[in-house]
Amino acid sequence: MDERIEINRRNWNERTPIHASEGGYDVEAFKAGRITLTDIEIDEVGDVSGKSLLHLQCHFGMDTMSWARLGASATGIDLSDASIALAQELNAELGLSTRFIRSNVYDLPDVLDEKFDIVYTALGALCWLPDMDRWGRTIARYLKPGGTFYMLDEHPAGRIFAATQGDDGNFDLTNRNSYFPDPKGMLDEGERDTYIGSGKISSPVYEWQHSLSEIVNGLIGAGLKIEYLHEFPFSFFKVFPQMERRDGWWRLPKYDGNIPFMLSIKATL
Amino acid sequence: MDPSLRTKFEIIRRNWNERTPIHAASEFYDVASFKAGRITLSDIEIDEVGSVAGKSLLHLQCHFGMDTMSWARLGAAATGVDISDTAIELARELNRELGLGARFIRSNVYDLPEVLHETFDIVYTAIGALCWLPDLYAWAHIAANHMKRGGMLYIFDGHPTSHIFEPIQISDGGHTLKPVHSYFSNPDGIFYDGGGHTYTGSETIESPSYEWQHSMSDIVNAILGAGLKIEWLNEFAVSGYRAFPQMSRHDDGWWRLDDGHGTIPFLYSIKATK
Repeated sequence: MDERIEINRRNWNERTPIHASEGGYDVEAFKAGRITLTDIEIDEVGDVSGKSLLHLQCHFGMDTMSWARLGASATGIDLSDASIALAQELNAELGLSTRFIRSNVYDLPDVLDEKFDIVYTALGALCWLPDMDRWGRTIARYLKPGGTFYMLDEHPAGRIFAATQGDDGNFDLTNRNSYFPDPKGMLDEGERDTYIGSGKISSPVYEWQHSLSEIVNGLIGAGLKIEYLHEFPFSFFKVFPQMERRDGWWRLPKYDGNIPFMLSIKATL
Repeated sequence: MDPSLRTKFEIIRRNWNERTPIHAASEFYDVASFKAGRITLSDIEIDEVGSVAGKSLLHLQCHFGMDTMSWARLGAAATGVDISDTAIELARELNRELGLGARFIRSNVYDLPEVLHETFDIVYTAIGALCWLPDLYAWAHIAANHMKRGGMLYIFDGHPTSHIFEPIQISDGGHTLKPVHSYFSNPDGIFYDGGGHTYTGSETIESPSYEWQHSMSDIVNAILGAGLKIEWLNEFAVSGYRAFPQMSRHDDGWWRLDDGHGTIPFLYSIKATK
């Protein structure tokens, strides 16, 4: 067992109640029937009715259950105990018959032996995984022949910047982080915000940068065929304080339309 | 073809006709050592393309053909294509002088189906090629049409992420990179007035030009749209030239951004098969 995965499990156990609380993921609207998936995902994944869907790194499952609301037979897996417990609770309360399994991505074959029409992962997933080759092989392991993999996540080129003050005193971006992967990962510790804006966390966490080539080659190396790669000049979260939300997506007015912050990939087995 | 594109291609052709004699006289291209037997291809290309002995190879946008003839030296039956009249004339002259048996055709990539009716084991294009093309979807179809079944398309070119930056000086006298240009494709292209330097040194190019930025998704989707299968995508933290002042040249000949700020991808390669 990779100790860093255990560290991340404890971190996500700490995050879950904060994310589920008021001002976080808006669980009340979800309970009232909201589909939490974005337009891009719904449009690009297409019709899921009657299809089996495996959601990797599902957190507390609102997106997994949204796919169930759209007709999929959905299974969500996550490494956090607190997340899976909450997902199961919401699922029981709403009668959605989604299945949830507590497991990290790499150890999933120990607890799940099935194949799916769709394997899906999205919005803040890949940065918690150290190894894209093993990730790709896990995806291929769970796809039926002809099945579809879909992901929407951060673009590696959008992760290299730091916000700084330019000579004119105005906000600017400069290159700070390497575009390329570092298998050691980056340890983040100390009391800090989680990404929802309220509530502090203090447990350490590991993050990994993954280049586009590492992601693409992880999938191809596992036998998947890339169908498309899309890139988007906006983000699902407020990457920089200067970002503004429009049409549900976070954009950077100074560089609007110029920097890729998200990518989606569809691949088939 | 769109008449405004015709005009742009004519502008580009005249620009490269002007560049050719300047490049041929430059240290950057070092024609003398090529004549003496140098292989001008990089170690990355030679390694990734693999053995070309006995294979037919089509080099798109070959300039004056030193790389094309290097593939010939490595055993390929090589054909080079370029838009510039002076570049193709010089390529033929070198080919004759050195007795290398490569073939050169003057043609815009998009007009190639009118003048070439053959398929190849390998279609190859490299550094500084795609930025002169407005439409990668049409380009990929032409490349695919010139590939044999089971043949390979190999691209080695500047990474779209590296094109967005300009260097700025910081307080300690060093430099950092700031995003200035868009990462995403611009179908109209960017017009450059003449009077700038060419990349081999300080010589001025008087004629104007057009260039196009292509995002990685447009490159990848164009290749997939032509029915090709992508075998891999590789990205490199090295550049063949000093793209920014804070870069340093290493013993292996490649320039790197190793000043402690985040490094970026300068080059990428893609292998796709038919």
